[in-house]
Amino acid sequence: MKSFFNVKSWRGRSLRSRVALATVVVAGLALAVPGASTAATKASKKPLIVWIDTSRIPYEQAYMKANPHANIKWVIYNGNENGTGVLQSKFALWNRIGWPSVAPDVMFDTQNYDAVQLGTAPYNDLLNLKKYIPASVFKKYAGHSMSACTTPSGEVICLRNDTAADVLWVNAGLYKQFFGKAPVPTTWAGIVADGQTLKKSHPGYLVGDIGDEFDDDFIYWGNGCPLDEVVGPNTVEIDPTKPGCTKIDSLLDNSGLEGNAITKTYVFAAGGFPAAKVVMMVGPLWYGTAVFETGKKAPDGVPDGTMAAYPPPLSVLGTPITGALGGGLWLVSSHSSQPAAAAAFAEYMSTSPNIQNVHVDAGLPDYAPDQDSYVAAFGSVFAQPVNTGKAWEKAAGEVWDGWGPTPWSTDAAWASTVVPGVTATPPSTLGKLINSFALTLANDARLAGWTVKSSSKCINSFGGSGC
Amino acid sequence: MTNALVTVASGEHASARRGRRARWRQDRPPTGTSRSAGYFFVALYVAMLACLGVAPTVYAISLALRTPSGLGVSNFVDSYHLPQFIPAFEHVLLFEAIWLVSQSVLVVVLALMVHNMARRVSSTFRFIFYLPGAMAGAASVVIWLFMFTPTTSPFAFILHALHYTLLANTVTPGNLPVLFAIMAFWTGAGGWIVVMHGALNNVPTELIEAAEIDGSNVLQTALRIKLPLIRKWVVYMLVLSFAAGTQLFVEPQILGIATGGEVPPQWSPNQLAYYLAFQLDRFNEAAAISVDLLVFGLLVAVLIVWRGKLFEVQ
Repeated sequence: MKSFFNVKSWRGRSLRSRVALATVVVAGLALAVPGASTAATKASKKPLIVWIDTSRIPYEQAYMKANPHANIKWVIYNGNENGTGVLQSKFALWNRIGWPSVAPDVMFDTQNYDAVQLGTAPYNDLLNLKKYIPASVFKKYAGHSMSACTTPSGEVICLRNDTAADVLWVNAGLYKQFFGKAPVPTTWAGIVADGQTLKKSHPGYLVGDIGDEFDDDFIYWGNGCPLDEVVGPNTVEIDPTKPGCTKIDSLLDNSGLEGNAITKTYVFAAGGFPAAKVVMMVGPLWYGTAVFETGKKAPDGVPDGTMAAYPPPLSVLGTPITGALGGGLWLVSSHSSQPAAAAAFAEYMSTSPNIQNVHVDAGLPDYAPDQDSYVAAFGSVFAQPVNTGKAWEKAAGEVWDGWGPTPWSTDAAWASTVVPGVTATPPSTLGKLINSFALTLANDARLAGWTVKSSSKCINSFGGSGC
Repeated sequence: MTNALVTVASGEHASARRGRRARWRQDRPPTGTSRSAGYFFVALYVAMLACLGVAPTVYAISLALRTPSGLGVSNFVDSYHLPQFIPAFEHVLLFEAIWLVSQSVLVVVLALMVHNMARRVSSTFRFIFYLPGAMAGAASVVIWLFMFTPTTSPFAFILHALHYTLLANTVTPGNLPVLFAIMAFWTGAGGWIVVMHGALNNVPTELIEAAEIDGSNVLQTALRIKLPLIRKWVVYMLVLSFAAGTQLFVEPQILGIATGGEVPPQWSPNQLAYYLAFQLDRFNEAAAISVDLLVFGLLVAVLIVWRGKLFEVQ
């Protein structure tokens, strides 16, 4: 203590001046530390700063191999993973204090609803790519996929990386064993009927899953149930009374399969998921490598060449639509000092076969011209590889544009309302739980300052105690 | 909290008489050197308090009062009318009710029991009670996540008895206040048992001996002599715990992320404020909610201090 501080100089001073002096010393110390670290040498030319998640590191390697002299600073972050809101919190702070030179020019984002939120008020932080990329490029993306990148006023504020459309995954061997040459179901009712056969004759085998934190994406999105339908600027329709919702609820609730042939085990459960027992299951196309052909042995996985993808079942309304679970976006900051270079980089990443044919899990490029070569490169990983590729491409074009993008997570609302109910003992039914799910979505929308349109009484009543 | 621990712990290992002698020594005016050292440390504290405590509070109040049309209270009104506002406060009050009642009863009972043990046994038990507190905040949530998962929990037999087979069965909306109360109890109770034990050491031995001579049994001594004399420490624990409890954030936030959203991201008022500021870029309403929490905590503290006669001289 004495050696550190000259005690004598403190004597004879008034209390106030001592406190003041100490405050100045402490404040000086606090300021000196970050000051030292910012005195970095100035680079001759500012690099393009690109944020990617760990899964996209093979993209970085592929890019640097193709462009070894590119002046790019790659930064790894969590891809704005569900619920973490890294970009939202950083952008909110930077909008208050000014954008630092370390802010990214281009970002990879795993959340489909992020672009419209970050690209519209109060954020307004994404570049309108219409000025930098020709319209002919936008037209080559599959189906309605670019709707997640388009603001209500028509600005294009991101580029799709890959699609995670839902398909029907079928274990070809098991299906042949149990159902012979009967055609694979093309409707939800067909899947339920096969489930009832299995429940009776081969208990323990599965035709689906309920109770995952994202099952809303194929149960409701894939059946045309308007729980997240943007119908105007900052206006969303949330209506659980529509047939797209009630028909699938009663089909599944009355099937007698929930808890047996439609399992309640989470596909990424800590105790393992019985992937080898799945005869068929609706799920995103990345389930192929992430849930089934994972390299794990039975019962947690199956050998290569076992699973085949079939087109997603028709919705309960009879329409050829499907949901999606994931898929990434390329975002460009409107605060970038080199917008043209940043936009060109994002276009390259999203469209170039050099990048898109790098296999990062199974996620089909949303840029249609890259799809065939991507599928072909999978070789014999899946059974019936040609049909599997066709089913993926068909599903990519059928993703229903009636859901989102909205600045809240439908999956999180589903997880907090429906999952605890359907997995409880005794379980509740989808028909009952959909009201609290819809009400949570409506309240999320109101919290975000959106207007909610609905014909359901319990959604319109404030607080929703009447449900 | 830290100050309290230091004050009490200094008397903890000494007998009451030696404790008094130590206090007499402390009451003498210190020499010049140690006095300026004291000012130095106080200055450090004052500077930190100003930078990290007072300045953010002033900033929050100014943000909360700033509206597009000048100064006003519209941020308070708007945030009050959010559909998540009242439920968030209900959640936290329910959690506080469960946690504070169980903590007050169990901490006092355990401290009284430990205080009656032989010194070596007592210190072992205090150490064991204190151990879970070493894993506070995020670390404790991760450990509890394993404890609450029926497939990995060492207490799976309890969870199975409740018909829980999945984490989703444990983490239901109705269970959340209880789960957070369990987490808060285990991280906080051990520290408070040490504090209460120190407080009990300050009960004069003459008083306890006199009671025993008058025929008071262990239970009577505990309830009629010791408990009234440590009442202020119980009140002190309530004030600090209540304020900490209203600011519940880490536990629901991490449990929510770990379960993909089974705990809504606006479950507690502090989470709601965080969501408004860092998900929706609405700092003014977020500041209004944090000012609500400040006022709420202060009001309850004043009430408990006043009713519990914390500052009354005996």
